[in-house]
Amino acid sequence: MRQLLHKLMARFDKGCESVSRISSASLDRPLSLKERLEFYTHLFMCDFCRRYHRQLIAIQKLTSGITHDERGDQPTTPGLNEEARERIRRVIDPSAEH
Amino acid sequence: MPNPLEWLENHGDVLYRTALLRVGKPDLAEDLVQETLLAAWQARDSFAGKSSESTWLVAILKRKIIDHFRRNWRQVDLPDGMETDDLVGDFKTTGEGVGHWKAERAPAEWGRNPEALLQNSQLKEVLGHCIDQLPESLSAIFVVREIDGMTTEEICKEFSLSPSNLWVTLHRARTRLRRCLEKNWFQQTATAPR
Repeated sequence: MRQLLHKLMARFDKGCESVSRISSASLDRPLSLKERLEFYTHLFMCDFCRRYHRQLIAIQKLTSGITHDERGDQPTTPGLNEEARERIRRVIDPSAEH
Repeated sequence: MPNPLEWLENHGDVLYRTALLRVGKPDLAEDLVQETLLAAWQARDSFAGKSSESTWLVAILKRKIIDHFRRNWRQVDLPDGMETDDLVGDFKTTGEGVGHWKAERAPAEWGRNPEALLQNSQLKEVLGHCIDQLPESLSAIFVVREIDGMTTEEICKEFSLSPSNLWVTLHRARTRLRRCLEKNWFQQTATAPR
């Protein structure tokens, strides 16, 4: 029965390349009915595309995590160094305008 | 009376980190901070005090960053080879299973606990380097989408992109980042001595 189901699904399957595009698009917009059918039936059969989709979601969450960390109380990147500060100070000092 | 020197003192680090996260280059991030403070000084009368000074300055900076991306960004019609490498190189183009993953390029297992990954600061650092290594035509779009959370409609308008070109650009950026993380983190940690 499972084999028959797989054969049936495979007839409508456009392959991993097509599904990888849908996987990325799903992070940006609602999928059409046709895309959803192709996407979910393929994921049911394909371990690699399931992984790929999970990994894209992980990358999205990790990126969001980096942004969150930078805004937090303990950012991981250093701030402006003193040399840069001094250079900027010289340019922006309003008393040096005239 | 506001003073740009005080802004630099009080908000310079936040502005710099905000810029560096998006443009990846310290020199450019410093220049953007400087441009922001000059623009804020010129527009000081428009600061109504409805938001905090920091929020106001960061908003000016973000506009400067988008302007920078727009000035330097161009929609590159990549030669077939690069298109192949980015999007199709992972998949079989001949023989049995055309359009399916090549065995050597198929996604590896990244572990069974994705939530644990999200707490890993070293992994985030590697991802930051991977984003910095993207060509600007991809990183600009990825940054405004995933870091600034711009809607796809806003991005299409800012960069004069069609929606389908936007999907392809984001797909290419994510594909490169996935491959970069796999190579520089997951394969490294899998082979590292325990």
